[in-house]
Amino acid sequence: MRIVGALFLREMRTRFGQYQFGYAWAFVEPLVQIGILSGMFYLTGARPALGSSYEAYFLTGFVSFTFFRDPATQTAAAISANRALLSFPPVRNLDTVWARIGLEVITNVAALCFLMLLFTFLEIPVIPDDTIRFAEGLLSMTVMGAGLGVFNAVISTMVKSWMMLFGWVMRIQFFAAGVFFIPERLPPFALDVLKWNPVMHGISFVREGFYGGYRSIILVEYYPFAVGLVLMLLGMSIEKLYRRRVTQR
Amino acid sequence: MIRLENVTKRYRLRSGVKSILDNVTCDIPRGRNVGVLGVNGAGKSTFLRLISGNELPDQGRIRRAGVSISWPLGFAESFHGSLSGRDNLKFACRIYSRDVDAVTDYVLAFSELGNQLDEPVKNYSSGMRARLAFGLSMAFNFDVYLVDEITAVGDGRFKAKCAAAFTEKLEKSDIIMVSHSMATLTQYCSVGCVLRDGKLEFYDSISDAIAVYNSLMKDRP
Repeated sequence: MRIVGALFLREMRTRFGQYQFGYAWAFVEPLVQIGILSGMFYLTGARPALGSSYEAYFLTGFVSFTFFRDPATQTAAAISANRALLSFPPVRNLDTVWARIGLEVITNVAALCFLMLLFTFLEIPVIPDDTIRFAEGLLSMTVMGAGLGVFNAVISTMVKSWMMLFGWVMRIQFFAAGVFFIPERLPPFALDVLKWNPVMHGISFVREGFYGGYRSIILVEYYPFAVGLVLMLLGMSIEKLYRRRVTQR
Repeated sequence: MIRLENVTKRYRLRSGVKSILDNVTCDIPRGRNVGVLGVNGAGKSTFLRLISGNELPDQGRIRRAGVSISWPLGFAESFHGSLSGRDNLKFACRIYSRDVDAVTDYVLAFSELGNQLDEPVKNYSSGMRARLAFGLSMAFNFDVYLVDEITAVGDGRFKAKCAAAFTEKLEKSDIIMVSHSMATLTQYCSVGCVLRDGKLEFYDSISDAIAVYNSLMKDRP
């Protein structure tokens, strides 16, 4: 725990350090994305599938997507980026992963609070109808992101091209997970395939919490949690089995 | 006491499997300084990394009950390039539960880095890095120091300062040292061991170990 704490502080120093806006970027990025997506919908005349507010629709779509995306992608390089610090014997491979996941989760929660305050101040309604369910949905996204992050961090030290493949997967997820649409609007043949995507379950979960009257036709609450935990355990087991290889490179 | 119990460590190379340690059981004595000898590629650095815990044995275990052991000093680069020297010190203090201010003061005085301590380590020259690393390792009081082919850094005056600090350390701490310099080994170590073909042979005097090592070198084509 002490080691993870030290790594956490060290990650804070460099995670946003190289950009000019520093930590503020974590807050600006979702704001800009919501603005762009809302603007696109507005200009093309598309209506949000739920509620009447574009901002709320993309807050539940995009921001919940970042709860999955950020722990999954930022954590992927945790082991390789901390190679030098791993030469201190008390520092273990997975400590670097836990520290990054912690930083991403805290950053995401802070960014969400900031957006909600800002939108409320601008009199855009962004307060969820069922806060507990909304938070559970975000937790399911976080668990999936963290699980995938652990898995990525371990695999990327062994399979060089993994991160490139993973980049494609994330780009597809951005369009396929339901940031823009809700599963009810999908044609049946697409729904039959996409309903297996756990990220779509997570986003539906968040939206059920946000829009009190909405009940998703696909949501199975434990599915995204189960996928996240299985990936996490898989990553941890592979690290344990192949610790020698993971350590050396 | 550091104890190796049935420790096996192998590397898979393109030309086949290389055995560094093959089912080795031994005690590394406390209160003595140990020089480790072996031909190039015998696995001396790996041996130190096993002792420090940087690498895990394939089989067996290494017991280090109650003994604080340094990371291998020398080649290993333990600093994060994007962080300043000061932040790297802070990190090391946190993971070893040491007082940040005391360590920073000591290293600042020892390394003579001055304001450059706040520069990112990636901008340091190799000499500056070595001074920071050496200062840090001297600021922490370890029971056992692992030294991997330590190379003298800086000018003559700084070398003398390092040697003095190190000699002072050795009044309370032990070293396990890998070096190709027989003079350095003789200067610091009293006992020796020779690593060859996965076996570790101990000798009560460093000069005996050096004699065995020299005969090994003669046998090589």
